[in-house]
Parts: sequence; C-alpha cells; structure tokens
Amino acid sequence: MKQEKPAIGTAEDRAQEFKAVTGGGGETSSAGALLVTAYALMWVILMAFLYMTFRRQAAVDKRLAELERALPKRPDA
Amino acid sequence: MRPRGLIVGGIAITALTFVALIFYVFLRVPEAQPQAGGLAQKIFYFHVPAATALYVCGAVCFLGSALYLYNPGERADAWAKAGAECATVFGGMVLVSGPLWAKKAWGVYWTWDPRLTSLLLSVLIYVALVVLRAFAGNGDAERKFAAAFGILGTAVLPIVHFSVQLWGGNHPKVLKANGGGGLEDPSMQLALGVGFIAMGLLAALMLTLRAKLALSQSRLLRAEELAPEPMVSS
Repeated sequence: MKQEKPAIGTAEDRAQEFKAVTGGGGETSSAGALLVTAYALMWVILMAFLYMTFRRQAAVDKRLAELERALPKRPDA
Repeated sequence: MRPRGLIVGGIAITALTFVALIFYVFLRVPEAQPQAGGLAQKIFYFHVPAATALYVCGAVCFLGSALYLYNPGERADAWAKAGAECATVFGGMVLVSGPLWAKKAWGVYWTWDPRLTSLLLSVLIYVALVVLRAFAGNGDAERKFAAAFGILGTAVLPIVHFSVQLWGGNHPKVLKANGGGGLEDPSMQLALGVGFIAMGLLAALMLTLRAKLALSQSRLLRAEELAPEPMVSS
C-alpha cells in the first residue's frame, strides 16, 4: 500500500490569519512608559559619556603630571 | 576666568536649563493629539534638539577634518575627533528616543523610512570613525584617513535632513519655514525653543570637554616620547 507524503503548503497556506474580535485587549504600549523609558535611556547615554570623559581626563592629567615631574630629572635635561 | 571655572560654570548653566526644560515639558506643556503619540509626543522636545545637536557636532567634525587636511595640526584634529564622538552620542540619543515615540505614533518601533535609514547610516559612519580613532593609532596617516572619513560622515547629514522632502516616508516634516510648524500651542513652541538652547549648551560643553581631552592625550603622547624609558613603561 503506497503512503502519500503530506504536501508542503504554500506560503499562503502557512500564513497567519487574523480575525477581528469585539472588546479586544486594547492598547498594549503605554505612552507614559515609553516616555519615561526614552528619557531614562537618553540620560543614561549622556551620563555614561560624561563620566567616561571626566575619568579619562583625570587619568591623562595624572600621567602628565607624573611625566612632567620626571622630565627635569633626566641627566641630559 | 580660568578654563576650569568656565567649564564648571558651563556645566551649572546647562544643568539649570535642563531642569527648567524638564519641569516645563512635564508640568506645563499639554499633551498632543493621539495620532501624534499623545503623552509620548513629549519625547519630541528632546528628540528634535538632540538631532540638531548631532548636525552641529557633525559640522564641527567636518570643519576640523577639512582644516586638518588643509593644514595638519593638533587643534584641528582634536576638534574633528571631538565632533565625531559627540555626534555619535547625540545620534544614539536620537536613535533611542525616536523608536520609542514611533511605537506609540506609528505602531512600530522601526520602519525603513528614508529619514530613519539615512540617519542610521550617518550614525554608523561616526561610530566607525570613533572606533578607527580608538584602535588605529595616532599617526599622521591615520589622522588624515579619519579626517577624510569625517568629511564623508558629515556629507551624509544634508541627505538625512532633506530625505523627508525628497522621498517622503512616515517621518513628518515638523518645522516649517514660517515658524511653528506642527506646534500650535505657544507653550509647545516655547518648550522646543528651550530644548534647542539646552541641547545647544550641552553640545558646546561636550565638544569643549572632548577637544580638551584629545589635546591632553596628544600632549601625553609627546611627553612620553621625551620621558626616560622607565617612566614610559610604568
């Protein structure tokens, strides 16, 4: 007895169907939550950048001060 | 006034302007209509000024790069580098805030709209430039290559700006030549004006700090070349 392979459907067959319902769940994304998230993320980016800038500047200034203190001590200076 | 005093004063004025902006936007400015995102439309008062600050930083990067190619010097290179770094940060702020507003106004976080796509491309160019400056050394050849890249990055900005007029898309043209644009309420217009001032001050402050850092780093490299061996390796 010959068994037939199940046919692979077309893209149309496999497509998700959406049906209208009455009294649905309503809006899922809250405007307030989106607003607060946007402001918080913008401040995080900004503060991280400023923190990195001040930290790097402090490290460079410290190293420069060390080197400038060392330079007059060179025998050929 | 000493440079340090100027920077501290600049930070204080910028912080106060932002405090005033936040209070005004959240307590005084009315919500927009639901089609514009309702409460989420208040993202606009930071989103648009941040995009303008991106243009300003891109212009500084362009001028510094062009000046470096014409007459190589540490100052021009420092401003070009600072412009690219600050443009990346403001680009990140725009790309983070825009999709969150779009989710409410358009129903999706992202769409391959001409404005959004060209802005993403522009920010990616600045990111590539920052990565290049961080890892490719600090020689004259690298600086010249970065300067050429900086000019290319800024050349994309007019395409970003005029993409809405040229190709349409979802992104609105908010500000009109005769002023006001889509902002009917006077308090909305005032909030946007204060937003421009606050973000302009922030851009000036960030550019100054980053250019100062780049100049200090160049000075450090020169000092390390002059310093005795044990100091360099420590």
